[in-house]
Amino acid sequence: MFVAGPGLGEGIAVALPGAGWLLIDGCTTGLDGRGLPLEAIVNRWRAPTDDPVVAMVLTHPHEDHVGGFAEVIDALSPQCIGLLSPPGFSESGSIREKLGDPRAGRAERIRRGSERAALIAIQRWAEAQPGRQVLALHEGVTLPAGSSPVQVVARAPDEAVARLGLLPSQDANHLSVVLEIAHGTSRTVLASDLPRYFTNTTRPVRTGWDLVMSRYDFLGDHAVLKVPHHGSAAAMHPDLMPQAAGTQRAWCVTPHNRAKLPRVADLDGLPRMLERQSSVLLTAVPASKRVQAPEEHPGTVRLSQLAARMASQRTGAPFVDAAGVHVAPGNAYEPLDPLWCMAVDQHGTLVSRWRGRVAIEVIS
Amino acid sequence: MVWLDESPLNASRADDAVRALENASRVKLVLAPGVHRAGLMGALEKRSERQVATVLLPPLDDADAPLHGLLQAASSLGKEAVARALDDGVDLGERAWNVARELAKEGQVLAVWVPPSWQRVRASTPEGPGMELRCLHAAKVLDRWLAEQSLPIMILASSGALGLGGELAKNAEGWPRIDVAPEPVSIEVLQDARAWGDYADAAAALHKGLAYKRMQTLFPWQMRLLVGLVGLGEAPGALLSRFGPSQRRTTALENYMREVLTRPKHDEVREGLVRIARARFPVERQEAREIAALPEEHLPLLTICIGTEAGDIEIEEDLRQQIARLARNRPDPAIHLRLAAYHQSLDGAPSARDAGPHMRDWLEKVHNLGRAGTEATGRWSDLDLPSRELYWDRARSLSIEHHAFVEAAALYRECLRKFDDRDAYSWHYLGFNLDRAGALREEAEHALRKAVELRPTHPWYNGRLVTFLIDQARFRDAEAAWAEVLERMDPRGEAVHGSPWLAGQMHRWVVKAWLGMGEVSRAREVFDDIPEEMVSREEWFQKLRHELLDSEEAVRLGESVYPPETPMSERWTHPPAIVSEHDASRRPLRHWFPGRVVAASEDEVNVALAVPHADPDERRIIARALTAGEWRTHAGFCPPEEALGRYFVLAIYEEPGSDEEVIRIYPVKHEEHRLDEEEMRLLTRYIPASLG
Repeated sequence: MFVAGPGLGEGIAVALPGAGWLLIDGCTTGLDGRGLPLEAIVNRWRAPTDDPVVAMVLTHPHEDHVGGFAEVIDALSPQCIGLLSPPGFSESGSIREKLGDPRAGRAERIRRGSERAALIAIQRWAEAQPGRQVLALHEGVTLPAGSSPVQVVARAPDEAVARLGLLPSQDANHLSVVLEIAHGTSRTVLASDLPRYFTNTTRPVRTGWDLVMSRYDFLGDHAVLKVPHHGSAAAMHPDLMPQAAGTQRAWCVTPHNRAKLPRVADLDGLPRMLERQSSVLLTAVPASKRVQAPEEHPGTVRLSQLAARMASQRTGAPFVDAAGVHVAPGNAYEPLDPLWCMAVDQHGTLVSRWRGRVAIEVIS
Repeated sequence: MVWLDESPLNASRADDAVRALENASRVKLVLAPGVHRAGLMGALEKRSERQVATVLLPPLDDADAPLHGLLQAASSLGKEAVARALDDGVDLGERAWNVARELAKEGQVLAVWVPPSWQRVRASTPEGPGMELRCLHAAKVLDRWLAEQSLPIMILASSGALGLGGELAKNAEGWPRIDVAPEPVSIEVLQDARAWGDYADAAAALHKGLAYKRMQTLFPWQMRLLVGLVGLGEAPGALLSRFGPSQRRTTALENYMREVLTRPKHDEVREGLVRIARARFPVERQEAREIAALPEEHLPLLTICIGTEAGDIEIEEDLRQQIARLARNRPDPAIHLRLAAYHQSLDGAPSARDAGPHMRDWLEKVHNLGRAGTEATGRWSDLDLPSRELYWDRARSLSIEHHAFVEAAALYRECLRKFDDRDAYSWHYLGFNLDRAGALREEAEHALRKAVELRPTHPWYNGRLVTFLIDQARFRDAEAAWAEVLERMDPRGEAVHGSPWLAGQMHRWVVKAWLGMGEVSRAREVFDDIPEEMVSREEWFQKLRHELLDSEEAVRLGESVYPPETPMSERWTHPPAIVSEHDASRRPLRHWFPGRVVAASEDEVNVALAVPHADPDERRIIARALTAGEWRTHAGFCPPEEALGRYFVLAIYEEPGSDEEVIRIYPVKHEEHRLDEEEMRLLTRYIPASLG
């Protein structure tokens, strides 16, 4: 499994045993935003013949998860595309509503361009061949996996909510598609941006991790976890992310620079994860491109060192410095730089791993 | 109104023109503003011993304009000549020459009224592919008529319209010139209450104002416009101070009339004038009144001031076009159906061949059915239409005015089937309209590519293929197509320097399309090929550059903290003028941060602040959450829950050496742009509702 996360957006590429690839969401790299990690991964590591992209999944229509999605569809011609079930998809943040919002700033409009491009490309893909249909994803739906022995099943969102759009909130995160990849006794969980609580509260999200874990408590027993919502505290569930029980497992986090996630402060984000896991694989430091730099081998960084590296430049204005969080889109990366790769066998053993030049392993 | 009767003037000038033609084969009659062309044409017909083939050219904005003129001329020769003029398989210029030769052979005189819009015939930068083609065809028709030296020709035009370039400009300088300009009239005519009808009071008030200023005479057109403006409520004194008695100011008066008509209190009058302004040619008086349906007290505005009431109502062409552009809604099909019925009652002909002297009415019937939208589809389809321009005329209206893109595409498809499958224009607009409809994208692409194949160096056709691909989110295909375009049209990057037309009609739209998709770096690549000297010269290039710079800044920072319209030169180096240098207690300004509210609720306001710095690499964004209380204390210009999207400057005042900060958040004005229905439809036309 390859997890790319340059600071805005994330993309996951799963090389299925047997043959075939599963791609989830998308992100871009480079100051010009034209580097496509998922395309680079597939082109770099796919077999010379008969190694198709069996499916692409868009877990939720957030602008930071659609980067390059349109281009990757055209470049890699997936056999299937899976989306959150409409009307859940359209309820979770209609592109028409977003485009029509006059309060949006230029930066938001630019991001929405990517979202619009992704939706147009998906529709074009569906029309290109008779019989093609976008697969509506909700809890219990199985994705095609080609000739691979792997099973890929959606564990969220709740079917009724997804079909009927019953959420009071418009937050797309609450309807994110969560995928479980089962191979033999091995389990990989791709947790998307699904939260447990509403942000900065302990008020549970109706479709969040409390519901999912009540139904699928075995998800906590995984070999690889793509940590939900960039490691935010509100997304962590103790049953999904229990204390390590001796078995080796990999937790991978993608940063979100604008939200300054994952946090490095006490009892938040990374520190909380490191209470339960000996190390966390971070695809890139959530900071400006100045702070981003290739990490020397072996790429292991202590939390305290990371915090020091990310310490904000002060403005000299206490009102701003005391409670403000410096954010920056950063991103001068090449496509394969902000990348963690984890290889897991059918017994759930982590057999190897590889990192891109700016990815780091964070330890206490 | 005797003083308005132009018959003596027309007769006199017609005689002069006829005499001039005895010694020269060409003569130009230059019409002063307000002189009615139909009356003068009638006088020419009456006073010439030779038969006069009269042609009143319609505005060049309409797709049927060149053909319209040709058929009017041919109708003077009879059915067979009309049939030959309708032969779509023969080049239009060739057909025009044939008509000219036949007219000459029959000893006829050709009298052509050229409207102001035909000035664009030789424009070096046509406004679009449609206008480019119309200009090309118009030039063919005029040039070939003029090339026939044995045909006596009278050109009637305002002085501006004579600057047409080409043969006309080359020759017209040496032609005998006859000015058709009424003499100034005494202001005493304003005292004739019966003549002015419901505008008698306005006329009297104007008389008083003129007398006060000791102005004794006015040119008729000026007088009529001024009475009209006073009738609409304008003060005579102010009008006269602003516009004076000079005939030179009539254009300014016309512009002012248009401006006054835009005021909300004149909505009803404006809508009525817009209705009648849809008629391209004079309309019988009673019919015109009913179509306009003006409030009774303002009828003289139509029948005396901007139009005439001697016979048919004819509105001064420049003003008519300006009034037509005041329309705020889509054209009412009922008006065009009514105009079509009116002309049908006059043409008495099932086809152009049979129209004879009523050719203009037959053409206007077709034109108005064409503009009546989908309501006229049945009736229009029943017509015998042997020329593609008549299809284009309707298709253009369906597309631009009625947004009936599928129907418009069908007409272009029919053109290709019926007339010429190598017609690049029809191919292009077939593709364009299918794209606008968000329908049949494969056919749309095929059509757009076909147009490029037939006209490989056409800027619009090439540019639109690229923007089509961008709008389909086929970014790599678009890049490849753009590379091919440049290789074909500007392999060494020199052509764009020599042609503002190329950059303006090709690069510009490609840049906009990339920006619309959020592909800022791709937009920059295309923009950088536009020479700086062109960007400096053209306002829309400068706006485009600003949009690009604002976008690049947004990408670099990850947030926008300045309203998009804020000039780049006013950013980052100093706070805006709204920010005081000192607070109420004379504490000096210590820090300032431009910012924007990125999330807001009753309890909390989340803002993005930017640390200002002259060096773009040193600027950075700080996210901060303010409680509702903090927001109310420091900002207060709107409740927290209404703050989303607001731009501001956060200013911090502080005494040197003191820890006490005084925070003030100043709102920054910003005009939100709300997409209209059509803009939204275009952006989402390829996204089904199920996907958002």
